[in-house]
Amino acid sequence: MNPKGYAVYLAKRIGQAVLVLWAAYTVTYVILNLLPKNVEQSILVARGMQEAVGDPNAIAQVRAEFGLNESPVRHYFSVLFAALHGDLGTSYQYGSNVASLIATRLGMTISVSLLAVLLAVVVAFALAFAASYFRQKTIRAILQSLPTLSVSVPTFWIGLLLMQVFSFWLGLLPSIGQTGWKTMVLPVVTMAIPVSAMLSKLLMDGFDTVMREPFIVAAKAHGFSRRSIIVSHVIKNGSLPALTMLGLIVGGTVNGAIVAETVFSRQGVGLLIQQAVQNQDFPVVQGVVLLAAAAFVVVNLVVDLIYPLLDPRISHTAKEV
Amino acid sequence: MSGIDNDIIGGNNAIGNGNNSGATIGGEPVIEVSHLSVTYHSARRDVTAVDDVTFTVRRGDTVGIVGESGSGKSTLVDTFLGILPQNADITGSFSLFGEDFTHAAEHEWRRVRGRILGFVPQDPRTNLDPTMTVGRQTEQIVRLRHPERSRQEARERVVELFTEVGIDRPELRYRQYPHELSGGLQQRVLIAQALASEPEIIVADEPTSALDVTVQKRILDVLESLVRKRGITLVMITHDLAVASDRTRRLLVIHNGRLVEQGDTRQVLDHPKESYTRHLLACAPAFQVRDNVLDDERGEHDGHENRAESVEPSDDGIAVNWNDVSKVYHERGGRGEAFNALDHVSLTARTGRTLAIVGESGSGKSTLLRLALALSAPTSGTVLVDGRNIHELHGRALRAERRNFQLVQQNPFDSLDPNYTVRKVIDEPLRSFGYGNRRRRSQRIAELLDRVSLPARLLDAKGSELSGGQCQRVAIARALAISPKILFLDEPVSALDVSVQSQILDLLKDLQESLGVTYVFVSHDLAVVAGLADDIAVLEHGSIVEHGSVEDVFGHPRNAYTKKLLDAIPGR
Repeated sequence: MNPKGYAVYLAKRIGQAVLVLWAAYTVTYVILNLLPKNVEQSILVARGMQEAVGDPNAIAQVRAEFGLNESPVRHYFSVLFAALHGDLGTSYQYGSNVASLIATRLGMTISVSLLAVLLAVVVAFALAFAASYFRQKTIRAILQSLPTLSVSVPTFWIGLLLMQVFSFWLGLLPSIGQTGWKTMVLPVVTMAIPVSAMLSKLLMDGFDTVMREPFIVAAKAHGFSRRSIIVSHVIKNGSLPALTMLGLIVGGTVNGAIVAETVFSRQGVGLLIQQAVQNQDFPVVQGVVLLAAAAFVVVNLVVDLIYPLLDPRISHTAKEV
Repeated sequence: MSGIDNDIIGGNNAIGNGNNSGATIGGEPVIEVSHLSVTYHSARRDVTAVDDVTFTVRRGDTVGIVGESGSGKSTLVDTFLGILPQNADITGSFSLFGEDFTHAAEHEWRRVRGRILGFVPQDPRTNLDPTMTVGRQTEQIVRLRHPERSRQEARERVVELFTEVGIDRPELRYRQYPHELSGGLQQRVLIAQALASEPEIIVADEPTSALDVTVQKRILDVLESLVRKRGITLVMITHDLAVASDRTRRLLVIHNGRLVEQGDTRQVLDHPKESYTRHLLACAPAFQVRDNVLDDERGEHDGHENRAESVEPSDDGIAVNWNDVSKVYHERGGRGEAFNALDHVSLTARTGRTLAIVGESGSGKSTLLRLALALSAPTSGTVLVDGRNIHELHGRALRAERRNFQLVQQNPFDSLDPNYTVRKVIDEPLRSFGYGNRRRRSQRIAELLDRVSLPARLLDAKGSELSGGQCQRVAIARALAISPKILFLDEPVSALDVSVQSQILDLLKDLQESLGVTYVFVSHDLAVVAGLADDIAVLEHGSIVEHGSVEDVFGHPRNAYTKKLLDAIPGR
């Protein structure tokens, strides 16, 4: 690949990423401003000043403090400008800096999310391998129906079911808490199930398509075993479509984190945004949306960069005619 | 039919021309087929693809299995290789290397895989893993056969094999991916892979179709010499009688799943006993070249005289004129390397006549067509179509001009929407050029269908229900719908069976006689254009190396490349 073309490609992609982040930030801002709100009161309540809710002086003071007297457009530009400098504002609810609020909670969510994606990928590949390895119709049918089944079951219900079985009946794992690896197992499994379902569906379709390719028949005619054909030809070719989707799926883990952290009461970013939405803590919502968008953009960029390593036919160097 | 008398085709028949594979002739039987039938079951109906076939192939022999598509050839191959789909049902029996394999299980098949091997080069790219270097793919096969070899040894063996099949710079090729190689090189990689397994039998399925003639000749030469050197038994499946006649010593003719005729190749071709074999022979274009053009007294001349009587081509009329055109492409990646697809080409197509443009892939023949169709613009020079410089026309004027010329493409299945009915396909250009009302269009469609000799009952059939020949007839009808003056034909018959090929060529001839249309006929196959063309231009690397009347080019070729093309035509 020619290095100059590559640099141009990369610069373009980074430009696009910045645009996506800005758009996510702006759309969230507009939507939050369209909602009917009663921000001043919830700030006062959060500060334990219930009695001041009806006090016009206290309200005026809060409005001035959070810049709520500015026109929406002016306010938008001032928060955007601050965000560009890394200042995501102050939480209405906690009264502390949004960036540091997210930072303290991030570790918890990232460890669980990464483990969940990892588990999902492993399970998805195992299922897809098994589905194309076995030729018995019933086994294949069962394996192929698993993804559809687990996608159609709501995640929170899976979480509650796991909790019921492993915590309350068997007593093997704690139902809540956030210290020790044991507390991570159930949230990880809960988050991994929908992700692996989607991935394995894509992988199974991809593997099936490749299994019908002439070069697979040729390999078979050369006498390669089914297992070695799948390992050396099918996995790589068949996972290309799923790789494209992986970026979208990983972006979707934020939803999974919200559910898992709510069900298992873990103080992560998922729970943070869930509470922030409930309490109209807009700066926090904005901050988390920006973070999710950033994660999404980065994962997709990484996927696009590793694509040509897996498929030599794809090159990011610009075509010139 | 004569499917039963298998004994006459034993290796003994080959004694007469035992000038090739030496000592192994008439060895023990390696493939024995006895009353074999293969039936595909599907929900709607059962199809018997192979019907009561009996024959024997002996070690060291070269056997051609000839038939048209749908004759059951491919089913036979799949049977020998144990890759029949699950809905196929076998009756009768067949054995490989003396062992019965009629209902062999997968693990039994694994034992002979590699000893009997399919070589399916028709579309070489789909037979190679696109995400792995060709070297690694071949190395895997070497290591499968010889697990004791180290990677280094296996690698050296691959380079050796690549050299043996005539791949240039094998060390470099080893590291390349399939899409970085030309079709010819991909073919050779496939041969190298076949040899890597050290097979005793190679079953080559249509080793030549979709290939340029000179590449085809080289590939067949490589295959033949290797087969001879190693005493490999070769079973060659082909629809091309000419190839079979050049390259095989025994011949089986298959029609509708039945074995119609079998015996010594020369004998079958010189004295065919069955009418179907005679029919196949009569259709093969290469044999027509031999019969018509080369005895240039007879064949060519009456064709011309007939034509002159019906529609008088205006003597100096010029339908298409490429005037000193060049087309330069810049290579991907922008290293500034320019590729001259066409280099100062001047060429004319006479009105009412057929100009054949012949060349191998990459010679620039498609670029010439694209320029004349105004699909791309020349880097320099002008193209006059029907007297007008089409690259100066834009928008509405160009669209109006497009009425005058139409294109018929190579692959009839790809160029027709499989979900459109025949009526809709032909109606489309009529409607888009605003031809008459519904009733007039309906009449016109019926008339066109009649012109291309398709029954009216096919009007409501969909593209996916038609055969290749029928598809191509529909494509021709569609192109003729708005009465163009010029028809550009891009390899219109190369995807078709020989007997269908000759029907389509005859149809084109008739249409030209009655309508006076000009044809610009692009083909990689000199044999195909021989019967139809008035003038021939031979292109090589973007330049015209020979241009003249069909009699001159075939009878007295001056250019070395033209001679090579002519020599490469099988069956001559």
